[in-house]
Amino acid sequence: MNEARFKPGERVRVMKAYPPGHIRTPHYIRGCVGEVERICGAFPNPEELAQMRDGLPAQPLYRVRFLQKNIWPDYAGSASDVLEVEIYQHWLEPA
Amino acid sequence: MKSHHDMGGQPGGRVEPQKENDPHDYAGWERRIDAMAVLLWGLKGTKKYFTVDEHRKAIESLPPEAYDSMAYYEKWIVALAQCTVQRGVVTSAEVAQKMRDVMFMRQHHDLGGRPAGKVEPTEHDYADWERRVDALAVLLGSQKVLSVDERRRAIESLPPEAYDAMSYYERWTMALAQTLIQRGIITTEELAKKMHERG
Repeated sequence: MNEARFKPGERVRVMKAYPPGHIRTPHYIRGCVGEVERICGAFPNPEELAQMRDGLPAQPLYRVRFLQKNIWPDYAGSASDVLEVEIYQHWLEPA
Repeated sequence: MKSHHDMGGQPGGRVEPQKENDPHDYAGWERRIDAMAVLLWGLKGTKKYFTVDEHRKAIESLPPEAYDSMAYYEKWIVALAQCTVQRGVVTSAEVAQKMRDVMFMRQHHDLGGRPAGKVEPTEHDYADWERRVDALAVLLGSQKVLSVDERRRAIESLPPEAYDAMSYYERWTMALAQTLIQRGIITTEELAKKMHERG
């Protein structure tokens, strides 16, 4: 298993990229900055599983918390509204 | 179902014949892509990483709007990325790192944040064939024949118009066929024969 690079509370940016294949990182969240809420564990990389490989070493998976107003340009709700997305480590970088 | 690239017999614009003294000149990057493809196909005595046909299949799997908006060698690049990831030459994570901020396309199925109508929560009963498709998928999964992620990838690779026109389990059926072929468990010939028998 790959070592967890981030700790809860750390700020991370989601990579903005469009690789081919089955990607679990939603399109709308790519490029956004959030904060690690928790480490969910480590799991075989689904992008590799989708290509018929074993997906090992397992990738740490994080629950990342984003402010809604930082995701949607016309967000009309409360400024403190959040959205949490589970994202694999290789999609994240320090922000 | 006609594949978008399969244009024979379709109405189309006029093809401008190339003038004899005005050959199309290829850009440096186009030449490099061509050379890279020839090397990866193993046509010049190099190691074969994937076949010309895999490369073609990747080009033909592009969403129609991408297919129409891309230049010839742009399609080749995307297809090369697809094939090298599929064959494990590179990982999708490596491609993502290299292509970050360069090309940014939303996959058709990835609908989060798109404008959409109201969701009507209704109960519905499943048809027998839907239950059978579900059971088949679960069995193939529990026997480690096919992974959920492979099935998802096949569903996400459906051309947008097919994706929209199909019901939930129709997509599953198409995806199961696709992945079973890819795994070599059934052949396209067997599938074509069965579909022909059924009309």
